[in-house]
Amino acid sequence: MSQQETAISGVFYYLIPRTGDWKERSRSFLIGLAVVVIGSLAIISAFIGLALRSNSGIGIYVIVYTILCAFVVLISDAYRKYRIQEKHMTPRTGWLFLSAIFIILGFVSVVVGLFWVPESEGSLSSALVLGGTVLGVVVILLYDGYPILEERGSAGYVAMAGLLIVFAMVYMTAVSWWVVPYDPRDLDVGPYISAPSVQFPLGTTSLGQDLLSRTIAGGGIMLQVAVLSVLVCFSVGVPLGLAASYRGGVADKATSLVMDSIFAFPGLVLAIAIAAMLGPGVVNMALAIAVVYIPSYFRVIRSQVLTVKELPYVEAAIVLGARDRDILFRYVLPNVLPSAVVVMSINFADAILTAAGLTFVGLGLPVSVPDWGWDLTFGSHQLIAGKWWVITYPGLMIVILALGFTLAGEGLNEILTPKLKE
Amino acid sequence: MANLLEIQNLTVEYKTRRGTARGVDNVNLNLEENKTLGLAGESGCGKSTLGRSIMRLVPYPGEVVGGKILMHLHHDVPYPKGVISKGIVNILDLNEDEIRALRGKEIAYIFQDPMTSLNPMIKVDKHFQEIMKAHDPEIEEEEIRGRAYEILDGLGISPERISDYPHQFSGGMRQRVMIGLGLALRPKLLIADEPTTSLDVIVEAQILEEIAELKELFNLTMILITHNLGVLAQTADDIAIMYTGRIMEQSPTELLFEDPLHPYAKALLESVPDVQHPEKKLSWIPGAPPDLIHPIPGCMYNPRCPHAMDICKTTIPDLITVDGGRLVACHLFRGD
Amino acid sequence: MSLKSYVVTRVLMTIPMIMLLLTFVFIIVRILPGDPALLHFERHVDPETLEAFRQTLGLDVPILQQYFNYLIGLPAGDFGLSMQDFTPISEHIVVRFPATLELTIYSMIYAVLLGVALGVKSAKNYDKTQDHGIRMFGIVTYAIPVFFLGMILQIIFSIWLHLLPTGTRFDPHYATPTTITGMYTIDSLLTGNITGFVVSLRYLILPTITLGTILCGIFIRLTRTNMLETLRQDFVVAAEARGLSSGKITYTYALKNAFLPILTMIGLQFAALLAGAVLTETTFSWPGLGTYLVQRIAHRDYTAIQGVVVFFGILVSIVTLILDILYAYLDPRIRL
Repeated sequence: MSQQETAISGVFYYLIPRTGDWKERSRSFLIGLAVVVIGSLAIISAFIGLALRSNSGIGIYVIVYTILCAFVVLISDAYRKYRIQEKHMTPRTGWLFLSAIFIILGFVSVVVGLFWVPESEGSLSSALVLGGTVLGVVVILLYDGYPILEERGSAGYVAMAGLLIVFAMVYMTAVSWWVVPYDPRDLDVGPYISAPSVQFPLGTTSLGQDLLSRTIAGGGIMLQVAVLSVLVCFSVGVPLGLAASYRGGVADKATSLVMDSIFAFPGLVLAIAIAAMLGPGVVNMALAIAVVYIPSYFRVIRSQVLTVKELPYVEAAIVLGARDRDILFRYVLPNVLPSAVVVMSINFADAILTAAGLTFVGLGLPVSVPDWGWDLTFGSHQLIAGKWWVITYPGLMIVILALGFTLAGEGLNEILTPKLKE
Repeated sequence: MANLLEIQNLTVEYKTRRGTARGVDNVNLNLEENKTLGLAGESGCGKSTLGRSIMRLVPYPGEVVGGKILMHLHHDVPYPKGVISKGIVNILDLNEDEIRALRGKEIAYIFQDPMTSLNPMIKVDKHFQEIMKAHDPEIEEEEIRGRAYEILDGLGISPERISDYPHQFSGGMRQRVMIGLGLALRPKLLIADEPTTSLDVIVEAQILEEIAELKELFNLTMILITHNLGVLAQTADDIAIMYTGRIMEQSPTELLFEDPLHPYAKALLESVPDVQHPEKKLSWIPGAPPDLIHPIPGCMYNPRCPHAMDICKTTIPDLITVDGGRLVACHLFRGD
Repeated sequence: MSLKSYVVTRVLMTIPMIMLLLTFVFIIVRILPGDPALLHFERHVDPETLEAFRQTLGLDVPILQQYFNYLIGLPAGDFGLSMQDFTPISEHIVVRFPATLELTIYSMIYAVLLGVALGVKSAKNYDKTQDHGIRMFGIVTYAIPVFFLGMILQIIFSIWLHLLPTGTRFDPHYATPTTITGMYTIDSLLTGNITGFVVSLRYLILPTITLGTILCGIFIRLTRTNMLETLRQDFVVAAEARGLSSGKITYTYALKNAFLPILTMIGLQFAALLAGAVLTETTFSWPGLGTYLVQRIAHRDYTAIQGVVVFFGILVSIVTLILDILYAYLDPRIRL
């Protein structure tokens, strides 16, 4: 296949069987691949099956709509690549083009949502926007990202797997309300704490809620808290790390001391203290978690900056009269960002686990919102009676989400900072 | 003279992410007792891999994928769980315990860099203790001391130094300690992998002499692996030249230097400066060895060979006997 | 730098860190919410009761003076008074801390043993299925919320299989061991109380496995990396060439290397250990400091929360200080 065709077909190129290669692939790889493919197909068909019987009635259409969005993104990306190959477009313009497509799709989704089910007051719109965007990003990840990651071998697969898991969860949460068979908040839809059955495939909770619906829709709080806390953490930790270590001197020592003190503290305990004093709420929980993890960013950034600062080419730049600002942005930052990204993915995983921990301890949000953490907390009381399903499924979801982030972090770590060479 | 070692069709592959490379490709080699065989070639030609595979210590990701390494044992070799009966033994067929019994006792290996080959954290006497205890758990402290002193003395190291750490010795002394450890159990076969490469010329000469003496004294059979043909001229009885994992030529030393058969051997010898003819222009071999992950068909030397013919590009030449005793793998020659 | 000067420096550094820590907690608990006393009472409370309340707890004086009192009180062991019944927090800490200590010690031992064992196995089977499996295990255990794992284990081993007890610390049918340290297993051993020992051990198993498994991942990775590095060193291959058994090589050569990093890691993980202990205790209704903290949250007992959090902070600082000094003592580079 020509270079051009390779570029355009992206991941699909790799799906075409090349006889020589496939024979060489180890047996375990093929088995793994089969498991992944069959598993994903099973999950997807289960999801679609659910959507057909959804509570809201329009579940399957919501999904179809998001798939349409993804398709549009796919075509735009292919077009973008084609134009770049033909040298009609620079890579930078290409990304702008793609972003524009996303924004346009977003607007369209908002409008569609508002008109389709006006009484949803925008929640349908947000579901469509989020769902469509996530699927679009997945498409781009597979299309553009897969060849890059595959090059790096097993680490690439791990990172890809992690990212796909994360995005799948986000998607599921985004469209959850429109896809679930029962409203997750509705009480008494079924008998109390009944075991999994045909009507309630995952069973019911102690308040008579359908566990399947709650499990699908329960990620919202956790994801919001995670995203918010990571955002805060990143925006505070990275600049602080850059400024302090680059400046050096007293400011550096003082900030390091403060950060070390926080870092030395048992994370959850500190988060508990802050969350207890701030009160319930998504923002408060996010802040509590953010404070705990800022030192992680700080330390990593700082060690990177200290290394880069000593490099000869930075010295050369200084001698040539470059301003601090230039050095920081053009030399230091690009070297520091890969580590920051890795810390970020681990940060996500930690944020989710800490949020779950805070909820378990009683510092979570009001009960009415479906949340995996709450199901775990309430379910723990049912354990003595042997009712295992109430905690298993929400817990499993948390594990999968945290796992996704951790895998992504592990994979990215290997890719961005390769260490052990064969 | 009987053969101590017979290597038949040995193939070693390295499975890397980029692909599989054959480090040793269908090598046949015979080693007569009490002789020294020199194994020479450029870096990456497979000589170290060959040496290591005799010990079954091929580094990851390498793996022996075919062939036999037959060793002639003159006596039974006992080990904790049993005994290896004397006779012809295929080293590749032995289990872990058996090969470990042979290592150090029947076959010894000397590494290139003595600093990193000796454990920096334990004293030299402990090294001797370890190796002797590993092969004979019942051995007494006295005997260990005695034997260690004897060997080191023979190598010119005063006995008090046995309580020193490796880093307290000079490079040459360290290498002597390595040799001493290698010979501590009176092995039959000594494989020396670039033993003098990291030493300066004067020490190198001394060590080579000492090795020659020890060889006589202990009736050793030796394989000397090096890229330095000068060293081999001094110490080897026969020399095998390797290239891209294959044996190109195997001849007695004098004959090789007087009249090299294989074009590669010729080119190698031309590139070595000659003290007696200092005005001789140094030549080099144009091109570079091929990437073993993507081997070229036929004789892999053909792109660089001045005598390359069409058949060289398609058929791998067999190692044939020529002139009654010399082996060469080249289409220029026809067998006896 | 000599050991003495290192110790002095390190201790001097700990003091500002503890000060900062105390200040943080103070800011969080006293300043952040405005008036913790008011926050304690959910419904409106009459001003007199509120004022009396604040007086008893020392919350009526100006903030700076509160800070001062707080700092002065701590070295004397004054961790404040509980909002619920005005009892000193320090008493509660003394009663409940040993349970937490027992759990954390056993969990850490379990985590290190399991982590190192799996790490070694992983390194020796580099790039094979076992290696990948163990690494995956390490990653997955990191992603599981500790209380979820605890609940799963409870359901399987306690509720379904009736193999192990849960729900408290000791069987109510037996008398608890005489209190010497407060740690049941140790107290039983000290007083020769075998039944007590066995019973308390049985109750410890599930919480220890829960907390330990979550923590072992990092030790797996540390040991694995360390082993891989060491096993590739030349002197390891040289030792193998001398015929030393792989077991001896692994345990004496390689693990000795890993010992110090593991010690460092234990220090670094101590904070995480305590955090995990809080959740583990809650899951298993283990009567330690963790459950106390959680209960206090439900009762909006903010001074108690402050007291416990401060205790945890100081504990971590002191433990890391001790471990750092221990490390410096053992590391020859600093000592010599």
